[in-house]
Amino acid sequence: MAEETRDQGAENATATTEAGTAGATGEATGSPDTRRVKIIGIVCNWCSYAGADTAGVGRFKQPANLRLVRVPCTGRIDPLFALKAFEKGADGVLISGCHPGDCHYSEGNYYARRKFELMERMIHHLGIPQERFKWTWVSASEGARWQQVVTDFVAGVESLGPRQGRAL
Amino acid sequence: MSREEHIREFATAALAEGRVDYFIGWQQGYNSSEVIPVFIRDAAEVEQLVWNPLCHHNLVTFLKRNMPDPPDAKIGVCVKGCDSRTLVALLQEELVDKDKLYVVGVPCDGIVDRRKLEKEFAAEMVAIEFPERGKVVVTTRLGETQEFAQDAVLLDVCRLCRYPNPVYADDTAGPLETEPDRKHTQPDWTDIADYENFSDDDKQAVLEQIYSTCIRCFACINVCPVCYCWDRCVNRSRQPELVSQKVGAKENLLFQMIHMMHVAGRCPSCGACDRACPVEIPLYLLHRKMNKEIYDMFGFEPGTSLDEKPVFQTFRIEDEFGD
Amino acid sequence: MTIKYLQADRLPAFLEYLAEDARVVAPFKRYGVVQFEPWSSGKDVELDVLLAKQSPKEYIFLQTQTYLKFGYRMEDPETSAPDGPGSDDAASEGEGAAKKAEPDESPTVGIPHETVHVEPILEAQTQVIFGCRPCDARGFVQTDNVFGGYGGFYYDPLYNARREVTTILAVTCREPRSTCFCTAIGGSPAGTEGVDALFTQVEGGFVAEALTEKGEAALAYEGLADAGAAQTDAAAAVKEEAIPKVDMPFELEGIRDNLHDNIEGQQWHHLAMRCISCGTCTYVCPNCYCFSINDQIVETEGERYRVWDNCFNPMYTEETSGHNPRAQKSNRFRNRFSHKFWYYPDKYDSLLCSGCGRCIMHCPTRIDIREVLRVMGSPAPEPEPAAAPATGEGKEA
Repeated sequence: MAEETRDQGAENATATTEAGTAGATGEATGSPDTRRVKIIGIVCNWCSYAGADTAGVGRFKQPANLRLVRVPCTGRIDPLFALKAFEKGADGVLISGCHPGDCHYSEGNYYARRKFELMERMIHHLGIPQERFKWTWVSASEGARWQQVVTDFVAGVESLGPRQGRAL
Repeated sequence: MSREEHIREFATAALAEGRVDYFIGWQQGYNSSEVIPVFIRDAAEVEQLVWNPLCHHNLVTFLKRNMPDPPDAKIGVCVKGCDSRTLVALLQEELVDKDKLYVVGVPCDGIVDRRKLEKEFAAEMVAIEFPERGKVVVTTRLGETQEFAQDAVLLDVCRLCRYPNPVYADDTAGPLETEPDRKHTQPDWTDIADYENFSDDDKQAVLEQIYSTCIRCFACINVCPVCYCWDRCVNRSRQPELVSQKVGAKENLLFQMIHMMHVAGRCPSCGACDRACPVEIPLYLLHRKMNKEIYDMFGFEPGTSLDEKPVFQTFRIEDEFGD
Repeated sequence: MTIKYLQADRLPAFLEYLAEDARVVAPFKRYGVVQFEPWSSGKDVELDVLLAKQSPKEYIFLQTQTYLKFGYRMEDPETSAPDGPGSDDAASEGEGAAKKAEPDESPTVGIPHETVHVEPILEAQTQVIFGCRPCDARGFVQTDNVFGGYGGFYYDPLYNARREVTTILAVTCREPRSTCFCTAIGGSPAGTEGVDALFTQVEGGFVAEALTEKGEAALAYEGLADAGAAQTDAAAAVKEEAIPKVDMPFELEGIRDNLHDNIEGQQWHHLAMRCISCGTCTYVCPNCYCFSINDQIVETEGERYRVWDNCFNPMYTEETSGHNPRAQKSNRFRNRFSHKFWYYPDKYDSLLCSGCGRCIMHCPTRIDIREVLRVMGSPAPEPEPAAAPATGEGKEA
């Protein structure tokens, strides 16, 4: 919209975003459109983090755009995490945990499954394209699957390029 | 007997018999164009209680933690259909003591949107009267009067209401309203259809515009009956600062989305938040969509049955979502 | 001082003229909601609706204001510059907090060490607020006391930098609302406190009276004619007609003393019952000024900002120990009104209220300051029973 928005905090809001992304990576990147996409991955410790480890140990080649945040269980993941990642300038958010039935804490991912489904629908409702948010299940031994998931997801995000979020 | 008279009768009995320390209902505000919540402690004051299509407040918010004064008071409260669903949501989570409550259910044929009416006039509205069912007459400070059909100026959530009668009540103020056939009809989500059809870029632009006007007053949070974390709310946390206290479009939308996602499964879209917002932010774009998706995922309508649990506080192994 | 006449259809040109040297802010209607926004060519100022949702205070006292940026730096004395950064930033008048590197006596001189690099930020764009009401302008006078060093208490460079470059052009209220009560507390629909030039709508246009030098400067536009006698008479008539339209819902005399005497009154609980403890009244008020300070730090870079706070926030008085003197809603409720009509007058010799009535209009449950002052600003009806507030002892008297 061409209309001017109101003054309050507008000057400061953009300052946060710039400070946030520059500070987090420590790099002064070039023009926004050519920088590498930054993806935040939120993964559970027991399955997906270990799965990522397996992929690493097995030397499976995968794009390096992912920064992992490790949580004990996907049941601990609050929608706040994904939304805040987008607010602070993430180009994509990937969530992964144990397959339902295999949760290290028995039930965490059963709760998570419901939350993430709603979260995904609401994220699209905000105008964030579906290529930028994904949730899935990767177990500790599925190194190859992890490689596939990451490669596909990064390709999807890169096809859209870096994200210039206006409202989140 | 009118519903108003029923309410007064129930309140008188409850107060006189000592079943409640105070009774919460609605009364006229500083003029007849406004209605406000009222707390009656003395049976002699029940004449202040009114019932009309301006009684939009969800009074269940006064049952939340830290609201009852004194804290262990026995409380009588009036609830419309939508309000009763928030009460059931609180009861499902055992957050309110049923034994300290006396609930008067009020069947409702729709609340008038005062803001819609306000925009019809440049001058201030000083009186809103309902000479007969279905008719609304507004008078302004300059003496202009205008009549409206009630159906034309209802709140959107009332137009699309599926629960005109309270789902939980100890006593009911008069005969029930006609129930829509919920078994054979789907809820109507057309109020968000326009927004849903926007492109991603347009959605972002609209949200940026809307949320840049938010002043982070917390009226929406505090008026919501199922938003009860109060001082422990993640949106208020300073150490650590989880949600930026800066007031800008991105921060405000994050704040609101957290609220929405945290009340998901307990919010019936009563609309109290929309009405409380001083800058008229269309919060329904978020909570109505949320409830649409919840209905699509589970066929669940929050707060309709005491036997249920809110959908995100439980699970079924047979759930089929995601890969 | 000058009195001019502005033809109604010349208003856009007048705003254009003001916009040559300043940002112009005025009330506009967007989707039925009136708010103060920056003006741009083609936008129509809204003056039929009496009050914008909020006061224009956010243009001087920003809701969110980052005033320091800081970061950690490793300084190698062999290669680093002798002085700290940014202290010659032209925008930082007086109170710029730029720190210098350690003085020469420090034991770390000669060793590479970490320092904090601080950069003050202060932007104060020249601006004109057009179309506010006398109550809005009066609000600035009251916040001027707090931020302007009255009584030697506190001088705020951030507020004053913006205040000094703001010109306030208010418009007389022809049709006050039923929620207005400015006259009861020493104001007026044609009030001049804090106003640089007062515009009064008459037939065909506005009569504009300069009241200060800034007002004179604003009215120096060639498209303004000198006001004729008929026009100034018409303006005077508008003002005379408007003043009695404002209700006088309480007697100001004695309120302060009665608030003091009623501090333990049980009525505070009753009046506060429907309050939901949000911050709407505080944020829409032209006079409320409380703020909080936060640091936002990401690794080694950060910023310090201040942001509006409100005394109804349950955590407003929470102390580091965890103790909270105003954990109870009725205490926070009592505090707001006592602050405005008792504590603040004690300190600053003025009320902290303009009588605009926005708090009444926007409160989700329409808490009415007039009612509160009528009840608690009156002598107590009878001796209170010696019960402590709200300990669950059943019904009150």
